[in-house]
Amino acid sequence: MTQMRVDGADIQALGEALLGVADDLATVPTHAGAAEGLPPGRARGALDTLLGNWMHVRHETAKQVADLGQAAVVAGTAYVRVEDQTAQSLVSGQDAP
Amino acid sequence: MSSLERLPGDPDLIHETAQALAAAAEQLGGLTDVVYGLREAHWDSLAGRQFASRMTGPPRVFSALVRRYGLAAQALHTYADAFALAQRHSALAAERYDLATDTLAALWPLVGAAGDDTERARLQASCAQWQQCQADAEASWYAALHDYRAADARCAAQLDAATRDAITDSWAYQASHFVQNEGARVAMVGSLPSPWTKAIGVVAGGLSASAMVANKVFYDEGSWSGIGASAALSAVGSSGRVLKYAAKAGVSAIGPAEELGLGSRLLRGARAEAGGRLTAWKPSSHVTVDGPTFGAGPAGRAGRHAAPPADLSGTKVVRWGQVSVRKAQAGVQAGRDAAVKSFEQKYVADYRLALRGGPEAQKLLYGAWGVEGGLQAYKQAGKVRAYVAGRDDDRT
Repeated sequence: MTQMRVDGADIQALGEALLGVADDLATVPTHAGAAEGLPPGRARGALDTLLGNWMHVRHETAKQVADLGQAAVVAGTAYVRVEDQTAQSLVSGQDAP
Repeated sequence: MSSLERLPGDPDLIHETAQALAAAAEQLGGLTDVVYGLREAHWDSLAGRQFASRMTGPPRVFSALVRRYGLAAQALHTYADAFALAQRHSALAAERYDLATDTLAALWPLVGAAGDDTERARLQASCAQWQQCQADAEASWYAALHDYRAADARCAAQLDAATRDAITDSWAYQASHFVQNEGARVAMVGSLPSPWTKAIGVVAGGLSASAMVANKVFYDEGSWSGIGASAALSAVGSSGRVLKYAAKAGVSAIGPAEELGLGSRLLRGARAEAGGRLTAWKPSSHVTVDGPTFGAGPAGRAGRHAAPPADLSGTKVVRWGQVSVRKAQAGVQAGRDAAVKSFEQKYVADYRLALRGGPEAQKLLYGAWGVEGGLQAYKQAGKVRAYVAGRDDDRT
C-alpha cells in the first residue's frame, strides 16, 4: 500500500532554500589573487592551488544544488495545487482534474 | 651600502589572508548546516526519497571546504608569525652588517695613515673586531633566511596536505584552465608595437583559445560564440610546442632549476615559438632563383614537417598498417623495448624536466599533451607519473 506524507508548502520552501544555497556557493570568495599577499616561495604556490583547484567541483555542486532546489520548488508547487484542487472538488462534489 | 637585503613581504597581509579564509570557512560551515538541516525535511514519498538520495553529495563538498579553508587559515597564521620573526632578524642582521661595513670603510684608511706601530696595531685590532661583527651579522642574516625558508616549506606542506581531499578538480581540468588564463595574460604582450611582442601575443592568444575550446568540450564551460569570435584560434597549431617550451623553461638536465613564475614560463615558451616563426618567415635569404627551399616562408615551415628525412640506412620504412607484422617478426620482447623507448622519448624525458620545474611546469606539460593529443594524451599523464615514480623508487 502506497503511503505518502507530503507537505507541499514545506517542500516549496525547501526548494527555495536550496536555490539560496546555490547562490551562496557561487559567491563564496575564491580569493583570486590572495596568494599575492604572501612572499615569493612555495607557500604562495600551494595557497594558489588550495584556493583555485575546486572550480569544477564548485560549478558542479552549485548546479546540482540549484537543480535539486528547482525540482523541489516545482514538486512543492504541484503538491499544493493538487491538494487545493482535490479539496475544492471534494467540497463541490466534482471529480478532481 | 649593504648587500644584505630585507626579506620582502608583509606578515600583516598574511594574517589578513588567513582571517579571510577563516571567515570563508565559517560561511561554508553555515551552508553545510543549512544543507544538513534540509535533508531532515519531511518529504516521505517516492520522489522525496529520490530527492534525499541526491542530497548526499553537496554536504560532503561543503564539509571538505570547511576543513580545507580552516586548515589553510591556521597554517597561514603560523607562517605569518614565523615570517615576521625571520624578517625582523634579517633586518637587524642587515643593520649590523651595514654598521660594520661603514665602520670598516672608515677604519682602513686610518690604519694606513697611523703615525706609529702601537696606533696601527690598535686600529688593526679594532678592524678585526668589526670584521668579526660583519661575519656574525652575515651568519645571522643567513640563519634568518634559513628560518624563513623552513617556515615557507612547512606552510606549503600543510597547505598541500589540506588540499588533498575529495573535492580537488582533476589535473586535466586544472591544466586546461591554467593554460586559458595564463595564455590570455601573456597574449596581452601582443598589444605592444614590435614584431616580437606581436608574434608572442598571437601564439599565447592561440594557446588560451585552444584551452577555452577544451573547457567547452570536456566540461561544458563557457560559450561557443565567445570561442568562435576569437581570432587567435588561428595559432592553435603551435600551442603544444609553446607549452612544452614553457614547461621546461629554467630547467636543464644538470644543475639547479631556476625558480620561474607562471607568466615568465609562458612568456619564454611563447617567445621561443614566436622566435621559430620569425626565423621561418625570414624572406629572401632562403629563396634561390630556382624557387624557395625548406624554411622559406610559411609554406616552408609546413614543408619542414611534411617531408621526413630520407632513411639513409636503406631499411624499409614501416607504415602503421605493417607494425603488427613487424612486431611478430621481431618478437614480443623487441616490441616491448620499442614501446618503452617510444614512451620514454615521447613523454618521460619531458616529464622528468617538468618534475624538476615544480607543479606549475607539470601543469604546463599536461596542457601541452592535452593540446597536442586531446583527451587520450591527457590520460597518458597518469601512466607517465606512475612510470617515473616506479623508476625513481628503483634507483633509491
